[in-house]
Amino acid sequence: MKKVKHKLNKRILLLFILLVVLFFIGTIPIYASAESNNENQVYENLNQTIFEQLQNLDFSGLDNFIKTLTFDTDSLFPTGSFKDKVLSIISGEFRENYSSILNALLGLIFESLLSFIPLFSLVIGIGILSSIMSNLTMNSKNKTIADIVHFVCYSLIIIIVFTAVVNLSNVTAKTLSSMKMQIDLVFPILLTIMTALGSTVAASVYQPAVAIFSSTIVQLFSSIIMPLFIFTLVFNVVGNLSNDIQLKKFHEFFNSTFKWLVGTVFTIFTAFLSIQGITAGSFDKVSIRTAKFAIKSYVPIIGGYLSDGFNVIMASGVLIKNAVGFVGVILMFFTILVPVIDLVILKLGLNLTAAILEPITDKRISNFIMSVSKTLVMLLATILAVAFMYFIMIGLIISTANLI
Amino acid sequence: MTAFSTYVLNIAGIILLGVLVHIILPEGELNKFIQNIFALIVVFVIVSPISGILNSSFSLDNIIPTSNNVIDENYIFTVNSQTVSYLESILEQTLEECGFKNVFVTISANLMISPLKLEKVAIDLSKLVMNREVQHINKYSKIKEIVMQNIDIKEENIVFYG
Repeated sequence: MKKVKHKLNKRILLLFILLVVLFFIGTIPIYASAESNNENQVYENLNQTIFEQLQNLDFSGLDNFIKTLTFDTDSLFPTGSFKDKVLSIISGEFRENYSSILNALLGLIFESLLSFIPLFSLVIGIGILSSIMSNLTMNSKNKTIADIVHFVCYSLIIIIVFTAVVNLSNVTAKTLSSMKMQIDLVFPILLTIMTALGSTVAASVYQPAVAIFSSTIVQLFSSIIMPLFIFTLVFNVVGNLSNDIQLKKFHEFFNSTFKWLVGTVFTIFTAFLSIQGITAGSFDKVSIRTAKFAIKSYVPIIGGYLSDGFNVIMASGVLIKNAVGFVGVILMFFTILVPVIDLVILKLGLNLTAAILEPITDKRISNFIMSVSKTLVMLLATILAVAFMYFIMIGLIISTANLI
Repeated sequence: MTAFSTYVLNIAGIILLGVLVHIILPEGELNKFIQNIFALIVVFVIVSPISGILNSSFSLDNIIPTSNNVIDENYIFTVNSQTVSYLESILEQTLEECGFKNVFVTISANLMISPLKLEKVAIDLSKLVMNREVQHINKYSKIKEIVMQNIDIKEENIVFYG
């Protein structure tokens, strides 16, 4: 079990490194090779081409999506329009204030901590009360009453912890559907740009991958993994209800099923997609290059102009594609930020609560709280896995289809 | 989903019942016996849906998507028309450098598909002004040659008028 977890962690780390590398490749600036004398003209030409191309891309779905977001989008999209953000990134006006982002992040963490503190203190209070009462009843040697006291206190703790957990699982389900919506909105735009740029082989690789990602994988996560989470939770509760009926192994079974499922889907999807995407991208690159060389070698003097002109049209497409991908990544990051922070805070808080209660109360109560905290990892992993796959796909699209 | 929640509730309910019985019943031989029976019932409830899962007709069609992403044709049209107008201007420029002034080139192509495929090149020679050095050669074949060197088009698709 530990080995599997270790392996999974390693794999996630590796994928993360891959992702970072891909982003760095993708964000290498693209220069339209301009002669010094007509540099300004090329620049103007590029701006005009970009503007014209952007005007004809349909961002209305994304604009509507931004309006439905619950978090504060004013700092991210000042005008509330996706297109304006893309344009500002292309023209290099994009400067995020890192200290303000950090402040906002700390604010979010603090806010979520404050909202959970009553819950933790209530659980600790009931735990202490239960231990005092069972100690008192133990003195009178009445085991049944001790059992009933434990049962009542345990039920109270279950109700309190469950309200928070069920609330967060609803938030996770909502986040998943919001992520699916983003996938359905962002990728058609990226694929359109790729197709228009002549990167048809790569587009034909990514198109089914996007379809599988947005329907199969997200569906799998919301229809198999969320029930698995509820299963694990229920077995966890009933397993700690009595000392006689033990269901710990069931809990472990669902836990490891979850890990294998997520690990397999994640690995297969990203591995296939990376290899296919990179191969298709280089194939497109070679075919475009040969076309360009053909033009150049036939017409030695003017061929240069011709290819450069193509570069302007393609460079604007590539710039738009990369900017759209970048804004998509930012949007996804902000979508998952609040639920992830909430989940982490609740998980750590429950961990601490279990640790505090361990020496005082019945071991079943601290075991229950501890395993709820472990089960929350499932929700966290669900959100993070989908987000990672999204990041990897966008990273691949940004880095592989730069056909200039 | 309802079947699933019923199943989960069944398990929770049966175990809850077992715990209550355990609390209510007095200590003794009978208590242990009843506990064993409850454990059996719990196992039965847990494994009961397996036969249903095996009998259900599971098909992959529900999971593998059939819908494809819709490509935004508007954008492809824009990029293609940008490319075509660029090619037109570069052809006119090239022809001017080779001695054929005031030639107007119109390229027709299917702008809705990518990669772009050129169909026809129409060359308007009504306002043609030729340099002295190219006056003695066949202008049609020379222009055709220049056009075919620059873009991927067959000879019969190059049309002259004017």
